[in-house]
Amino acid sequence: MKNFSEAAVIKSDLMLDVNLVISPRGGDTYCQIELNQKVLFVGLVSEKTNLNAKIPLCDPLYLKFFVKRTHPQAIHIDLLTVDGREVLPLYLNQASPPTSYLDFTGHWELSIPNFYTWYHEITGQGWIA
Amino acid sequence: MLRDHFCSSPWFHLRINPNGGYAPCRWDFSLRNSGKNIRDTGLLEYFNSEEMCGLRNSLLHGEATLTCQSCHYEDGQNKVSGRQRQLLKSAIDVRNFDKTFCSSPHYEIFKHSYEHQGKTSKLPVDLQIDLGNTCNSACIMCHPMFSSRLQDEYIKLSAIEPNLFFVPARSHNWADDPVLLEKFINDLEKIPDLKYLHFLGGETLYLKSFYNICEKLIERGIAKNISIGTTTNGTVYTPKLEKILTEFKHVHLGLSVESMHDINDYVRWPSKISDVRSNMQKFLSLRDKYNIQVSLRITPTIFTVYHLDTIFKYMIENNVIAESCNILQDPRSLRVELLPDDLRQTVLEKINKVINQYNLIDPCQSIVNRRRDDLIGPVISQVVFEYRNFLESYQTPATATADREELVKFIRAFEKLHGNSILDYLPEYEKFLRSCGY
Repeated sequence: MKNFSEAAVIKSDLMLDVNLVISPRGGDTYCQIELNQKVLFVGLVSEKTNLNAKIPLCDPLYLKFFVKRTHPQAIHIDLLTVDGREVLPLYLNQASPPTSYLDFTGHWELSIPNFYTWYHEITGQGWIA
Repeated sequence: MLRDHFCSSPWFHLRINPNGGYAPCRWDFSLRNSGKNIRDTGLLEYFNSEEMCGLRNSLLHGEATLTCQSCHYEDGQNKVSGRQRQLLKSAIDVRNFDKTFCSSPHYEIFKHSYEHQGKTSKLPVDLQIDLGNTCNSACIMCHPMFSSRLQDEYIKLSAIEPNLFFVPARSHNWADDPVLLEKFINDLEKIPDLKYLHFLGGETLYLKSFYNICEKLIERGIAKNISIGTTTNGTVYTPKLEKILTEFKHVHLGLSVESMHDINDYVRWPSKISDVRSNMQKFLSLRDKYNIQVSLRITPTIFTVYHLDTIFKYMIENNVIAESCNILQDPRSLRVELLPDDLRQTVLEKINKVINQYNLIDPCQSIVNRRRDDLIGPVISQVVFEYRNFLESYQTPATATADREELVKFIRAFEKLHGNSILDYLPEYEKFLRSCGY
């Protein structure tokens, strides 16, 4: 980017790479995963599954799981990265409920309004002017 | 390129010099006179002055500016520059510039300035306030603008070595004027999100205006919402400080020192390292008692660099970080880069010895935010490695021969006034200095 006008042009093309790794526990488990209201996965999770998506740089990141299971089934979120930066399990406390072991029937979600500003704050980079 | 030259600092920061003159940045060491002074121009008026708007415009066009020269030099030496630290206040990371710039919470503010010739509606929230130049020290690498004692010395030095020393203009401390101080506080009250004030002098703890201004900030109810910082030469300690610091949201204290060796007395004349060391322990006690932040502010010269290892050991043993103010460029004859090769190797060996003795590990990723209590150890390591890398890689200036001869004239002039000799402090430099005409 040579100057601001180039930044303004490039901005709309910049994307975040979202990578999600999940695996079943206690048998095949039904799950629906949405990223920003788009279905990323739906069905039975029967093995370790790697899911990738791109979202526009400045879009909020809203990840939602719906799990339907019976005992002892569960979904485990092994890893969530954005642009290669670990989000889960490192910042599990940001999720609702704050767990990566989804051994319940119901919803789990993670909401990040602006990824890099959030990442700045959560990694302790100091106050924003 | 925007990545190499952009800085967000002019959107939230400005500086007032000891004489009340405005400057766009705390890291602008060019000492150019902006022509605007707190005596005739309000804080917020200056913030959208031609100078500030011009600087913002240049930065948005990816241009390198004179104001930013010292940061660009530091960037080039792979040190964490002021620019990188200010960018962080806009959540912009130079290592991931494009994405963090475009998603910065200040992006729309930059856009507005781009479309309006550099003007901004954002208010400054991070100010450096130089209260006056009254100082009890005459550090040889300082400038008369920042030290009344050095100002007096320059008058005498200009008679001894007129080609190297100028007769400085008399400086008037703006903050000694109660009307101006009141005007300044009134301006601060117009900034609802004010976050940080950094006070400098002269010697801040020696200036009555420092205590006056803090008391006013407390009285007006501003103190509890803001952080303040100041930098001291470590020669002054007063219990008054203890009363003040509990009233602010957060306090940062910087201690200017580069060496725990007697060479500090020669360079930061007429301080005594034994007194400084004793005060440093008092400041560290304040840190432990009140949870304030204390860091060392190191600006090594060609002389103090020889015993830089002593300051590294102090940092490690007292768990205190250093924030490098800059790589000294002026006076040019005191630059570290003028070290001859043999002394450079000795300095490197001493630093390597510290690294080995304390098993320091170079943090794999640069830590830009150095004020984290949980990262004191890694930050100390990084500072040590930064200096080692700088000493290994800097290019000796093409003008080194002439600059070294100038160095000798420079220190001889000071020594005539101080009645001392560098060789009493650094006998290891005798061969080098003699070869340059000492």
